[in-house]
Amino acid sequence: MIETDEEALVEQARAGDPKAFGKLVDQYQRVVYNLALRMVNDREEAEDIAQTVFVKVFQNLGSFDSRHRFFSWIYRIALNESLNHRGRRRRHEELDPGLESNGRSPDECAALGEVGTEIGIALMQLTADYRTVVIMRHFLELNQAEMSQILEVPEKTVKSRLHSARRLLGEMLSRKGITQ
Amino acid sequence: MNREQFERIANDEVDGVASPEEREALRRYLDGNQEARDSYRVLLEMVGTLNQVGMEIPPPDLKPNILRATTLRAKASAPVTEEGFWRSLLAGVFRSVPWREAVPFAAGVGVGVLAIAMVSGNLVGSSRDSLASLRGTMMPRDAHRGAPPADRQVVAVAGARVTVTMWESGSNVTLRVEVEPGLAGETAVEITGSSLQLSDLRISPPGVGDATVGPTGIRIGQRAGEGIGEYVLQLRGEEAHPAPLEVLVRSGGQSARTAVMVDSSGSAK
Repeated sequence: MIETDEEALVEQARAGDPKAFGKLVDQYQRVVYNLALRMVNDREEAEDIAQTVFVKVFQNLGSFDSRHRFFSWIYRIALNESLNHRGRRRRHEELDPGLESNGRSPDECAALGEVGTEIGIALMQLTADYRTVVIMRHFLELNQAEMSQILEVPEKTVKSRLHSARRLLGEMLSRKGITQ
Repeated sequence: MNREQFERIANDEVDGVASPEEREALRRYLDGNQEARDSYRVLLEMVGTLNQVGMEIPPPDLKPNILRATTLRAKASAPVTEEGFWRSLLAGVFRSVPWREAVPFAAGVGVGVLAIAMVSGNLVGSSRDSLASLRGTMMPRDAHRGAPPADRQVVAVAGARVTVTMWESGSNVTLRVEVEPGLAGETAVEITGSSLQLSDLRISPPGVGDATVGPTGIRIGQRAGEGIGEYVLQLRGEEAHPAPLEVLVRSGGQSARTAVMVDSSGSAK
């Protein structure tokens, strides 16, 4: 989408146009859902998070500073919501350890040949900072400058986190036999 | 080139940000180093695997649920006060009246409005029933106003206290959920069960808490420090005396469940 089109949509949505807001949902629901999905590794929870993100966007459109880019604003809300949700869930996981892998053991996942599931489990073993950069780079296909803008950290930090995260992830996937 | 430089440039090459000089240096380093070639192959393979997984398509009901939730939220966050209601009514009427005739017209409208208000009960002192805290939100003339509730349940979990009061009128149900959050984190209330559809939601004070509608029910979330929030839900059903509504309260890593219901005759329990 051309940026000016998006700016116009945001302005219309701010003015209370439900169709414009619907178009913004169309534009961003995929990335918001996938960001949440990879952050929490649970489809149902990702759906809840995505819904909450858009409700928050809707509620706070009035305070959105249009000098900033809309995409980095919504990504940041999605990321914070996923991290908060993850924090809330972690407390419940003490009672239900099966949540970490969607109730499946790593062997079951491997037997099913679910590379995506294995990667999801491996991602959950990374710290939130590392997981975030891997998801943004490889699933949402953001470049380092965009990641730096969203995360509000220097590009150098993004790069360093990404390299370390890849090294750790490579070791994990290698141990699981996903990569050599 | 040392190992650290190699890893940096290899990652930059994967991200497409290595300079031509770095790319050439990497090529030369790989040519003469079997271990580096293996490491680079593993990196490329892993990145290829990650990229291969890609994005999933969101569930088809995500967008409808979002739009439903935001529509309800818009209603909830913009309560019409009694004063605001009458002002907007008058403003609407005045827009259609020529300015010169406005003053005598206003006098007539004023008398009329006063009469309507007195008849409808909006300006007449009503009994201070259990909905007194909702004054000013111009709640619809609910069937339950002044009526005893069909059920009332109180759930206390980890410092949080949630009171759910239910009024029932035929197939329609009004639920009032008062949430006093725990000392830390979020207190969540999940309401599920029955085939009732949410037709209206009002939250007071505006801006407190968060309510979302999902495929399985309604979720209210309120954070510590937000004070007491009051959520009034209007639910419509197809059958008289609907089935119980299950209420799950989570706070501080603990949870408790209850249900609100009317008995089979539809009278208060």
